Amino acid sequence: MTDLENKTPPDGVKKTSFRLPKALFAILMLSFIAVMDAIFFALPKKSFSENENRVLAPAPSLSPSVISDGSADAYFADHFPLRDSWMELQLAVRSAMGSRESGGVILGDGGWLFLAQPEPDQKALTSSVAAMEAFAAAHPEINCVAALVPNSLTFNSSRLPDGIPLYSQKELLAQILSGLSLTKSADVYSALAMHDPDALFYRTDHHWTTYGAQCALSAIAPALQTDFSASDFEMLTVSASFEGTLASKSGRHGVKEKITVAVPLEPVPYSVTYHDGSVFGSAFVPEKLDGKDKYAVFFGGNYPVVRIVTAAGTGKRLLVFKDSFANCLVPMLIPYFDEIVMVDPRYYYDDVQLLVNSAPFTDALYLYNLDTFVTDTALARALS
Amino acid sequence: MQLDQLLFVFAFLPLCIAVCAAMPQKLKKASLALFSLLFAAWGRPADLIIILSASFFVFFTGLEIGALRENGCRRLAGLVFAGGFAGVLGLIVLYKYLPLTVGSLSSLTPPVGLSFITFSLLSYLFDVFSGRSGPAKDPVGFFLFVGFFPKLISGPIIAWHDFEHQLEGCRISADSLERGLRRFAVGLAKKLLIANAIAASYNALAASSGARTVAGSWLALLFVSFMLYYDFSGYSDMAIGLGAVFGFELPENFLHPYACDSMTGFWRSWHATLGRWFRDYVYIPLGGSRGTKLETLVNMLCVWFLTGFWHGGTLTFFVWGMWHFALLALEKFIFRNVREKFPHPVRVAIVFLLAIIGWVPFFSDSLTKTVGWLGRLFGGAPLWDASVGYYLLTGGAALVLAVLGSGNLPGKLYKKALDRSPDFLRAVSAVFILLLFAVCVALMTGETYTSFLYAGF
Repeated sequence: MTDLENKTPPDGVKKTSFRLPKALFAILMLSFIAVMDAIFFALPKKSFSENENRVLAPAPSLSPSVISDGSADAYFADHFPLRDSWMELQLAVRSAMGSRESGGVILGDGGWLFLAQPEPDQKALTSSVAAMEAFAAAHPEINCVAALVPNSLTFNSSRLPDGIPLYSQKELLAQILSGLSLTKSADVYSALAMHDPDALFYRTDHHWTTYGAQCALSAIAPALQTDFSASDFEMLTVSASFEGTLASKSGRHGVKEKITVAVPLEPVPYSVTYHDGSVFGSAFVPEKLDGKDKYAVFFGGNYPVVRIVTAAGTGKRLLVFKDSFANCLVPMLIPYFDEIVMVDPRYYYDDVQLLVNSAPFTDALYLYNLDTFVTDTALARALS
Repeated sequence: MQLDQLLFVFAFLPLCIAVCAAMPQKLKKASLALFSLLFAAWGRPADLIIILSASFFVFFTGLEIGALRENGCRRLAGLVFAGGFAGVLGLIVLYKYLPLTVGSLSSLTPPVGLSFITFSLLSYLFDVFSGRSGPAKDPVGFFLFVGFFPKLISGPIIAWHDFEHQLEGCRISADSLERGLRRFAVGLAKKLLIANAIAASYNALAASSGARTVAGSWLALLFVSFMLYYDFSGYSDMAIGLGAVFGFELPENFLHPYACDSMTGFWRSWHATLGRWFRDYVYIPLGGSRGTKLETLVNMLCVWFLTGFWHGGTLTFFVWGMWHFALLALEKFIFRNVREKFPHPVRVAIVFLLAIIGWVPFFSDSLTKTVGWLGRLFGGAPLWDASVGYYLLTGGAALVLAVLGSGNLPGKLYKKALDRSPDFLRAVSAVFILLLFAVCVALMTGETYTSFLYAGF
């Protein structure tokens, strides 16, 4: 027998040759699917997603309606194993493919997230400005001030993807404010531009920081004829684990930020009354710091009407038409007004005239983020 | 239900494979038919009633036609055929075209896959009437022909005479799983990784000022051209792969159309099964190219009128159909010899350009927008805008991958490497496609991501 025919090596151990399975890919893919399905059935289900800030779909009922109502699809997707990790992977893949936006959020450098600019609704803008001017004309005794706040990407152009199409918020502001004559304009843009942009806005939320609001007050306070000074306040950090709306919207997580509140060095007693009649002794709601929406530490969120009565003794009363940007600013106005009434026209459907008549207001402030203002129709509706 | 959803990939498909594999041979067809019923009903059960009703209507019509033909009653068979034909046509007219003109029907939504089901039903009636095939005796097999879930939504279109002899071969094997799942995974990647990425860039560009420039208009055109190709060919790959899993050979639908050097070649490679259907059931019965030049032109015109109309009932689709009629007619009768004078790469470039210009009316809402877009392509607009650069950067990677993958070079290289080292390449490609599949799982998960923004917004 030759060596070629001798199938047994000299040491008597039989050789075996390894062959790849013919259905290698099928085995790999079906095994992958089987493992994921096993994990899906084995692991307990969460009821709430921190990252997405929503309740996850409950288990579908075992009835014929499951075919048509989408409950099985939602349940399977919401509780798919390693969902958050898959989300991170898809964001990484899309970023590697060149995408610089996710969920309407621009992915900037250094962990910065920016809300994509909404297209201005010129008709809505014209209506809002006309309504503000009409209000000022109808109430010459009230000092009316408009404070429109540009969003963070205006001050962070170096962090934006190259060439991203944006319109100039500075120019848009100038266009809007040029329509106001009876209503004074507070130059918030210039007030903010003088400061380090890193501290003015949150990286993962569309709101400005308390420090940003304080910087804006250097322009707003003189217009409201108050002697506000930043040195009258102490900044206290109330949370170091804030992850904002833009992180949830985009799916890009991992950056935690601080939230600070401004507390007057010489506190003025005040009470806060909400639209449902509930009364609280503070503008801050610490319980909100335990949840996802930590910005709601300011007044607990947005409500139709919030009335603040103080012992300031200045004789001034302020009516604020607002969006959520006002929430972290208004506490810093408490020492300077006997009464502040905040109205969010998006939720307020009663007659504004009733509010105006409820107290002898000396000042009115329109405090909006520009992104909200350029598409808002609620203000014009409320003022009309 | 869609083929690129988590519930389909991780629940429906493995369950279907497991059940069909476990069933004895005589019950495999029925199992597959049941799963196809479930797939058709998922999300909109009312669709199933329409699909089943149409299927049974045509099934019994086919039996009647077959019986009449057997008894020599050809005239009566013709009447029954005409009735069946009108019934099927009436269904698609009701759901797809009347809502465009009758206000009270504007909210009527066609059942899933209606356009493709129509082709299956009409081809069956033609085949039985012409004697090319005998009528189906088994309703389960017939329903599987109509509603087979891999091809239900977007084809490929397969004729009854090509499908019926495969019914008894319905089986799952290691080879069918390997071939089928590989093809499915590649199709999924084409759709999710490339088509969807390009679609995102196209949608953003179309809404920006860049779309109103010359460069932006060309970029938008490239985006839609490759978005459509990868979306449709990716879906076809998924369908063909899934068919293969269960032992069915569905016909190829896309054969590197953008690498063709003639419009005729393009239409044999782009949605090939559609072209084949119109050739077999419209062009050839009308006489094809057997008559005079004028008769041939008229026959071609009919085909392209119907092709445009089938895609949509608006004027823009009519324009698209006429564009391709004109190109094919010119190629057949005027430029047949002129073509040969150009080198192959030039011919490919010209065909590519002419084909993608055809997508302008296809993707425009109106003739006005069609004219506007065409005008901008050829200089009737500012040349450039900074946003064009942004969308080129953000969508460029997907576009480059799309262009590289659309030719036949990757396939040729793969086959060459496979000949030299089959095992090694099989292992490497298996791992690579599995990684692609994992990326697709991430992208599918991403499609389901929704965040709730607080009242403090």
